[in-house]
Amino acid sequence: MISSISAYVAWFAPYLVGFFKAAVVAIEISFLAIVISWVIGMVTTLAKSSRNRLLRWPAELYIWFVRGTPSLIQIFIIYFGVPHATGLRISPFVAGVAALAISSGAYVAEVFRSGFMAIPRGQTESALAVGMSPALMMRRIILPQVIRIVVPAMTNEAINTLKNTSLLSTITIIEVTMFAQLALAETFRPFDFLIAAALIYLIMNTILSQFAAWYERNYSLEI
Amino acid sequence: MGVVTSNAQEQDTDLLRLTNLRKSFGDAIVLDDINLSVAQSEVLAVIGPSGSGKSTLLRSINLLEVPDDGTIHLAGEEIHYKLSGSAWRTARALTKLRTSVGMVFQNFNLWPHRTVLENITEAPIRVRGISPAIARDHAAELLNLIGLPDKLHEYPRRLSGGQQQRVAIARALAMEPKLMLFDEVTSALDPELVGEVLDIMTRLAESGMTMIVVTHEMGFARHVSNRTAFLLNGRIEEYGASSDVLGEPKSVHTKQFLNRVLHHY
Ligand SMILES: Nc1ncnc2c1ncn2[C@@H]1O[C@H](COP(=O)(O)OP(=O)(O)OP(=O)(O)O)[C@@H](O)[C@H]1O
Ligand SMILES: [Mg+2]
Repeated sequence: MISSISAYVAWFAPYLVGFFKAAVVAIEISFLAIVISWVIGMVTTLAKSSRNRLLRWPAELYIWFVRGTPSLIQIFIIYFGVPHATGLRISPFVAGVAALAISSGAYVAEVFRSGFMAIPRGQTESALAVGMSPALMMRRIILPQVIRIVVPAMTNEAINTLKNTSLLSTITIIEVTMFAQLALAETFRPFDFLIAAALIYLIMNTILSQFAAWYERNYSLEI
Repeated sequence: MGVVTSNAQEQDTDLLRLTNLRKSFGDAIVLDDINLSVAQSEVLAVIGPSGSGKSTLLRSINLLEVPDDGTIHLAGEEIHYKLSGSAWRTARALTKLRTSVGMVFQNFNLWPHRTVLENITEAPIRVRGISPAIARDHAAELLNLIGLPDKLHEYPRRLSGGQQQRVAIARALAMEPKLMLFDEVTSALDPELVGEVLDIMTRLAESGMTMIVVTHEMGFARHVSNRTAFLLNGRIEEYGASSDVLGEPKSVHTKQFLNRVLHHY
């Protein structure tokens, strides 16, 4: 029994290094995509709530398009479609980050919007009444409250993005899913490698949600 | 307090003067040619039925609402609402006006993510540029004044409504305003908490603060305010010494309103 376990570990060990590297790739891509999606989401929210149609309409179009199309199609458009149409060469890494950020940005925008809507009008008015400029009010009074409100929904969205890195296996990126496929093609042991891949996603997402929970505990909104 | 001066003197001591103030929302005329002045250290009570424009009037004074027409004189500064692109639209002029006018709202509107101390020191530090140490000392004094010296580091949600409203008053006072606006500040409070807020306002009035108080508290209006304006459909239906307007109203509308209010409570 013990010897068979140690034999299994010895057999699997070399693949662990590969899985580790693949996980690092997934983390790099999703980290960049998540941060960029926050920027896209915030800009989109502000544009969407603008009175200027030239800002509002592109924002609405973007959200409509992203919500109504599969992420995989978005990834293909950016990796295969855009270079073909424009002659621009895009590396799989850059295409992956861009596609996931664009794909997530629309949802982030909606999360931010609901966060802004949850702030009572009186908060704005009391800030303006003491002479704050709109920018100062945004930075010191509104945004801190919005951020605390949106943490749970943003955590979900970040987890989605991390899981969606698996779609990037289709554009030659060796992330966790791609590595599992390569390994099982070599060994014909699909169960072992797919379970291993699932466990790696679980570990990454558990760490992410633990971090979010810690953040919420320590910075929870005093209302 | 409560000196009745001649007209000529009044012109000189007027801290605030509103001239021909008008405001519409779409087709609805909410303020219709309002003329009103408030002398230094005077307390003006504004009463009137719901929808008569009391809040809009207050909010026009610090430009939370921008009137369509009219002029406001505040402490020697003059603002013409109608001149678009005029000086008050610049950020600095707006800030200057708003820092000299303190406002307290019906729903307190304290910032929930900041402690009591931070609520009070935020604007003095960030808007007026006062050093944090001095702002903190001042806040501590104000908290003594409103009887909450031990609540410095509490978050608003841990305070009762009355305590929150007292903090909101302290927050406005921390900017050292020349004029304080109160918009039905006791309406959202449980009856037993109304007194503590009115006490603070009474003491503030006695200390010489110029105040405009929109209120349904007729006792407060009668005993603390020097003048009362009765607003009806966006116009000043009756204006005068509080004892007159509230004691022997001339307008039949004022009478009816007072009867309704007094019998209701
Ligand atoms: N932002 C707005 N847009 C449209 N109409 C408004 C707006 N603000 C106020 N009004 C309208 O203007 C009128 C006066 O409102 P205001 O809030 O000044 O009345 P009020 O005397 O303070 O009433 P209350 O005693 O209920 O507080 C009301 O008919 C109200 O519906
Ligand atoms: Mg009102």
